Amino acid sequence: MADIATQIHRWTAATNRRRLTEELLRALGWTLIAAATAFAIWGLPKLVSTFGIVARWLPAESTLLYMAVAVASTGLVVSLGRAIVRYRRRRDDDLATAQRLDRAGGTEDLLATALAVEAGTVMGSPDLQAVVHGKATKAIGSVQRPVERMHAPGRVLGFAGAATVLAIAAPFLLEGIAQQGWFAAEASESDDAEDTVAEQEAPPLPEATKERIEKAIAALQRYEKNPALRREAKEHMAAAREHLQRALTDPERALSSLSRAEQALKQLAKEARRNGMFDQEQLQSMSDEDLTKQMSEAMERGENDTAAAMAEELARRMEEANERDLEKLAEQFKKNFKPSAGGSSSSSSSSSPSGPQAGESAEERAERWRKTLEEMREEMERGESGMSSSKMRELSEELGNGAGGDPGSMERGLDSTRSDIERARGEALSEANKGEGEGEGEGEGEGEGKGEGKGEGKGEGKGEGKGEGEGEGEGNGEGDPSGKPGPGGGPGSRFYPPGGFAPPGGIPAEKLGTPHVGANKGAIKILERVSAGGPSGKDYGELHHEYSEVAESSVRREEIPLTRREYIQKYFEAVRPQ
Amino acid sequence: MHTQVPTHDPHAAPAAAAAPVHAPAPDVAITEQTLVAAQESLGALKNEIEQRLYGQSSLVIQAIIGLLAKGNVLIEGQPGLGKTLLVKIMSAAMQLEFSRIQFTPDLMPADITGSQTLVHDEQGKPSLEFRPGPVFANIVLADEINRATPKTQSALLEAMQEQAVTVAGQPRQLPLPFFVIATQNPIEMEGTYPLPEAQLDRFLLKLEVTFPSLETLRDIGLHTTGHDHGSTSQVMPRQRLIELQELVRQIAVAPHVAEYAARLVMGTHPDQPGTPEPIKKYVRYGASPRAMQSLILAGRAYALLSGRAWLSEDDLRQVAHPVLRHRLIPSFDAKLEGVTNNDLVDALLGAIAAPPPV
Repeated sequence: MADIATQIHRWTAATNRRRLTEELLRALGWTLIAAATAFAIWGLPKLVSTFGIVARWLPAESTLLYMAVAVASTGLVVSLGRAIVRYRRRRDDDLATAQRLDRAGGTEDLLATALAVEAGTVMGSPDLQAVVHGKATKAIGSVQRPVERMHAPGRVLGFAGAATVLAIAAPFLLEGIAQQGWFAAEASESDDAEDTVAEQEAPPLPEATKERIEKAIAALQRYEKNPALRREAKEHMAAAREHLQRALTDPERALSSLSRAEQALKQLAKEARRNGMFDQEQLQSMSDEDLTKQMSEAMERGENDTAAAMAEELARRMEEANERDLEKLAEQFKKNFKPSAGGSSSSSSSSSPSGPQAGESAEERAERWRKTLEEMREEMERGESGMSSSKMRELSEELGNGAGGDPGSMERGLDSTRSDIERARGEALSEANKGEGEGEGEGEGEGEGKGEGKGEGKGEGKGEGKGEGEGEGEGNGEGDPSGKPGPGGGPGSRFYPPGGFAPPGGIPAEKLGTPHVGANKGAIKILERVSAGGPSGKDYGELHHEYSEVAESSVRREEIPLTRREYIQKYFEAVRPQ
Repeated sequence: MHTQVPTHDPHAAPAAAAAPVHAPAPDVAITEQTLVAAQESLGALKNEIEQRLYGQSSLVIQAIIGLLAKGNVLIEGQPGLGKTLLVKIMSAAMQLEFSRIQFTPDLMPADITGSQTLVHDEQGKPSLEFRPGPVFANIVLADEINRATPKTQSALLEAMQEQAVTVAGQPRQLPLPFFVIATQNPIEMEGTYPLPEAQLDRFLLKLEVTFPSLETLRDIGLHTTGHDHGSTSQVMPRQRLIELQELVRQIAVAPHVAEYAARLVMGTHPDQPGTPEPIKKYVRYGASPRAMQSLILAGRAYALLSGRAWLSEDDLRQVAHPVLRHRLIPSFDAKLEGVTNNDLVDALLGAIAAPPPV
């Protein structure tokens, strides 16, 4: 008797397996698409730079990496989740398969009923069960294997395949195209008009410009060696340096390379404002000797921001140090920090000022710091970690506060380097704008500057004047917070307020069970207007609906004779809004 | 002084078993043979009725379903569409006793159920004898039932429900098979007593007689205005009808089909989750559990009529309109917007689909 159930179960399982495979393939397709998209996001800067485009709008590489990982992981999770949901919705049970077969074969629920008969859930005599089972067995014998054909998600997989191939092949293809120079002109145009001029003319860079670039490269090389720097900061500096070197070696692309270098430094400044320049973990991993040595050198070079970060780390170490550690640290202080001009400060420590003094010169300040460091060393030798660490924190704070304005600090240095690059780019642009040509025409203009040019034609070759310009700006502001409270009140909600209308027959709405929000709508005026032949607008429609609901509930009450209920219904039909 | 008057009552309950009008329940079972024979019998009955009642094939099938399901039928239609003729042909084709009650406002319950009359025997001794009313018949046509007062209506409705009447405190069994066809005229509502919803629920089916087509009208004109071509043939004996009624109760109902019937009925209630939007908007009260029983019973009869031993979801959809249309109580909005109960049943069937998604 269980033949039908077994057969149908086998078909159901096969159908479900196919559907699961389809959904997994679809999920795979979407995941591949997401992965290709993520890959494209991650590789976007490289792709763009292949064409020499400076994309200032692009976020930092680390941000792009996060975005790519987010896109890929979201794609994976969403695809799998969707596959699970879809499969659960599409999954058949034996009854559904039987019903599907019944519909296909026109057997009117025979197989579904036979399943129930076999399961013993249909009441009936053995004769009845035999009749149903016999007919079902006959019907199932004529059914071709009803397992659906596999419907692979062709479009999704095709798209995924194309996206994957594109993601893998695109960098190589585009590199090749860029090397052929097919898009060089276009890329340069879109990048910057300056580049076009540069590529057309490609004059050699002036010596002064080269010197500026070399100076900037040297500065960047020096900053890159700073062991406390964040990895991203080093990467930006390295990128800027490479662009600068390319500007020197390839004058044709000097303008775009300088522009990219400038962009890299702007990005660095932006990230430094957000995350800081120094890596705390990096500082913690340095030995006492390295730390003191690097701090001393940074102070010597005037890189006060670097020195401040290191001083902060030293202060932390002092706080946590035991006597032996303090002794070791004191040794390193002695070894790496230069002594003050006045020798040991043990006798004069109490009298010497520890904070910044008004009108103090740089030399005097450096001398004061040296003294402070000596005092710290002596206190450490005495095992007084508290005093020394608080002094070190004060020193760190002073170094940090003055870092931005002090000439020679890394932040200032980077600004200076960026200015050098800007100037170099301006010089390179001026050089590129010089040229031979012919021209006629009148010109108007005001500007400050000097121009030189070779050429033939009419016109003046020199001009001087005052400049005028236009600019756009954006402003942020805050309004006056002292606002006044607004007027209160508003339409309320109540049952049949005075001046509104009451339900017919004085039947309270609560008893009728009809929800009613009886805001005063001027019911009488509405009725008067409509009865005078006025238009039955929306307000009348609402009024009619409310009245008819009340009437509908009330006609079911016994006081209303059966023979009169029809009249009430007809009345409301007659006054129905048009 | 009160005198006990002896009564003579052939329909009284104790004597009911011996009465020839009460056929015993037959011992029949569904087999391949009985199914084929049932289909043949019902086909012959349907053909016989359709030969004399033109253009009302759907009405005939639904009336046979009501008969097979031991239910009662309310027919709504304009005068002259063949309602009475249908009942006459059915009774003649099955050799059933037929009576007709024309309902009027002055009709009394005793006019339907019968009453006790004082009679004198040969010796002049008085006795009370029960004179059965027109309800004591196999097929009762209650014409324009909404014209009688509710008290009189309820006498018939009690008979329909209990298949018995109580006169002078004595329950009296009605003959089997017992089948009431009541008619209502949808026009001329003045001075009528529309059946309350609770009473309507007692009718298994509500049939609507539609106006015939031009071709059917032509056939009616051609064939019914000349000489009578003989009386209706008796194609099914009374006992056979009772056997078929017994077979209907044996039709197999799978749980998923019963669940579909339950979902349909549940879907008529505007306050239930998953109810179709038109039902929520236009229905005030939905169908009762009795509606679900009626749905399955009528579906079973339809399955037997189709020669099947099992009930399908399609059978339920086929009988959904006549079973549910009088059990939905529409709101004023439905009436004002011209939404009929048939529209609502259509919406229900459209929203609550039987087949699972493929």
